[in-house]
Amino acid sequence: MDTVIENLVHQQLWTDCKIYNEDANLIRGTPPRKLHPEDAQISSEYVLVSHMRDSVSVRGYTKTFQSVHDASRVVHAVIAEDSTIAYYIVYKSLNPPRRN
Amino acid sequence: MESDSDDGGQDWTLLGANVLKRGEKDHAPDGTVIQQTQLQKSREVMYTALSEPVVISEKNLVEADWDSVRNIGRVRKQKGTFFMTMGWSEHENVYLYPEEVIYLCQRGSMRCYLNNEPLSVEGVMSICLKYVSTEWYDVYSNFKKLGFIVRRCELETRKVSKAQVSTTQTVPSQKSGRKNDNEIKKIKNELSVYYPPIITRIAWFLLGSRFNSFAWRPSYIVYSTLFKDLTAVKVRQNIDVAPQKERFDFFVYKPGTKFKKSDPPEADYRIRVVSADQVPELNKIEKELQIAQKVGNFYKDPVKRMRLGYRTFIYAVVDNGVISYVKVTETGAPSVY
Amino acid sequence: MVSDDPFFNSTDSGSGPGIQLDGRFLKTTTNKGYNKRAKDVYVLPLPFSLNSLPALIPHNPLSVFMYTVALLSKPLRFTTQKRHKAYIDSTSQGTPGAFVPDLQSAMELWQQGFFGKGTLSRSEPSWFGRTSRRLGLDGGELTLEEITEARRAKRRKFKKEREQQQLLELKQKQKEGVLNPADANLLDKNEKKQIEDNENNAADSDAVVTKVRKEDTDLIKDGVIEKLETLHLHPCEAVFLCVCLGVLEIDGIETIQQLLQTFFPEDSDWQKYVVYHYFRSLGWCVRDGIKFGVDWLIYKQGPPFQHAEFAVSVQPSSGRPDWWWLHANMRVVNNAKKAMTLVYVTKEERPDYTKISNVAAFRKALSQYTVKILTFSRFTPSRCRD
Repeated sequence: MDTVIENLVHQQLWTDCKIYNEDANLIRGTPPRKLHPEDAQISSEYVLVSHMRDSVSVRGYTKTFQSVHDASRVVHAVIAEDSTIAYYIVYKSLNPPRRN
Repeated sequence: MESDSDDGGQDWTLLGANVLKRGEKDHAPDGTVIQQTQLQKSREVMYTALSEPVVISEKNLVEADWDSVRNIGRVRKQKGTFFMTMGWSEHENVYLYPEEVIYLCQRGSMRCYLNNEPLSVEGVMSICLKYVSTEWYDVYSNFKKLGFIVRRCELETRKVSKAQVSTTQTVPSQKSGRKNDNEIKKIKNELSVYYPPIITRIAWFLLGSRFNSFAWRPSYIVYSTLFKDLTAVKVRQNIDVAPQKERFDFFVYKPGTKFKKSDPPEADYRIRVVSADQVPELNKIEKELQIAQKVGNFYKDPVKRMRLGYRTFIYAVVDNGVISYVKVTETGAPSVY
Repeated sequence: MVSDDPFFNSTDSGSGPGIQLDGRFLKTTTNKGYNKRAKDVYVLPLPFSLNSLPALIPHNPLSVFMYTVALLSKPLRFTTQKRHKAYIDSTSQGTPGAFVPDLQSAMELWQQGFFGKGTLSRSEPSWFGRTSRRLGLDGGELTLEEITEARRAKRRKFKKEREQQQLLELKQKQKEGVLNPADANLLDKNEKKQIEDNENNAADSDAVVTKVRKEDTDLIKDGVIEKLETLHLHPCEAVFLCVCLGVLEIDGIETIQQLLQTFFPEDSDWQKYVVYHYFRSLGWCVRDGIKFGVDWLIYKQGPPFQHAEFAVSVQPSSGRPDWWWLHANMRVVNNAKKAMTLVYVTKEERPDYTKISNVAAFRKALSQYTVKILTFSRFTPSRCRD
């Protein structure tokens, strides 16, 4: 979690990053710009932290969304062996694809 | 399909302009009449095409009998241009494999009889699909409908074994024999295990346990020496099995090929049909590679060289009628230094 | 639903260096110019120095004599290599690999063969320079991240313009008629959003670059920015630098056996190393492939010069990936103009590390392993008719 917070703050330039829920591996913080062009404004986001070797499951995501009941999406940060972090946005429901 | 149109089949090209082409698509419905009309038009074109009845032109119709002992079709009288590229001759007769029988009946160019009773297209399929799998037929007809010449490999090896065996063993599109020899040497070199020179081996033997890295020399003048000293992992040599019992499923030739059944040229593509499950095991793939198409790779640039590779063939991966073609190429990494 | 976000993601496929922008951002505007500079910085292919010969001037006998003497004597004279220091992070949740804290060592390992990754950068440890510049202190050369950011800003601008263009087109099309009156609202909504966007626009993109956050002021101690970033070496890189080149020392690791046990506990770790070693020993640059869902990315020279040419997935000899996985990867990888490559390691079990007591034994163990390389690409018959 510390690795991701450090990365969010100092590489991605997020602000107010704090551990939100230690057991659920969740961080809360604010990105420097809108994550999705359709967003109304910049808002604080939840970040789920996991490692490459962890497996993902619907059950896991359900638990995550239960701990962030007010949010419709979370940012999923996956840490690789060389400390590369790949970020994905995970939505609770179907979301129209974005134009490239 | 165009290439077959003179044989009396349907000509889809006449449908023309209203069919939507591949390429840029609108991102999402925008609620305008213009977009809607365009969609509607191309739908209508599709339905018109599909509503057209299958026409059998009696004049050009080929007739064949199903031989239920050998499970192949025997043509009564050759008509049209099909038999330039389909079937094989045996004692004055022309025979067709089940996939060829289905294909000709389905496109309305042939009528097939069982004990002198004409069969419906459904009847032909229900008989023939006992002897070839649906996947097999899917792949055959997919290439045929695109205008390719498709030959079952069994047929090539049985009928004209000499010609085919020799072509599988030579490099196609070779420019000269000498260049070719050099090329084979080069490939062998890239694929073989590196044996360091005797002096290096003596040094290793005497001092081996005292080096603290692979870079054992007191100093290096060029990097190529250093990279040689780092070498330890190599590409596994091919284990050559003597007689080639393996054969592919289909040889495919591009539409324009000058094709002669008695003397078929080198095929453009070699196809193995598999159902969409898991990628075959390495030792299975290696067997395919033994009879795969050899590539004349004359590139010096390491990237191009590695991309083109040495040997190649195509898996037709079939999932419930949907075919995905995957080209498999064996390659090795040339040295960058 | 998982959607990959190319804006936010630190992942980057198309970070072609040197895009034309307003000159404020970039010094070099063409790939060629950038590569020329890259050639000056990235001279050594490995963090290993050669014993160079004096210049040879063929018509000067003295020069020929000096050259010959050097040629005969140099290979016997020892060149000492600079040894870099690293430590293993035992505190965090067992992140594998080794960390190089010294900035000079970190830069050298990156510039000489592209080893490691800055913990706060996409690859090159460039955080210090970036941050200095962002906070208005002098930071030297422009980094890859900044070039990418500039490119993305350009892309955002393009999208905005495209949106406006399409809004006009939509208006035109709607004059011909609308299917459902409710859809007319779509236009209103879009138009409203457009106006809002335009208002926010100026604040949006520039603010990011200039704003100083509380997080930033915390970094500055006595007017100097704290050096937060370290270089993270992948386990395979650490072993290669330690054992093969002998240019890395890792704190607390005394023997090869200990090194292997720490870094390659599983058979699959060892297999990954076998493939890493294969490509490295032929002079290719090998980097982690997580961003493309594979094990390794293979570059001819390295990231500043060109994009990776091959995306490698390491397979055990009995490996049977399923066709769906392979198709998904082929799509992703071919879109980025890379070749999807499966490298099979023809022996599965890792060696018995307890028997590897020295470099010679390690080399011997390694040479027991061979690879088989296959590339997979999609083939479309309708496009290959002639």
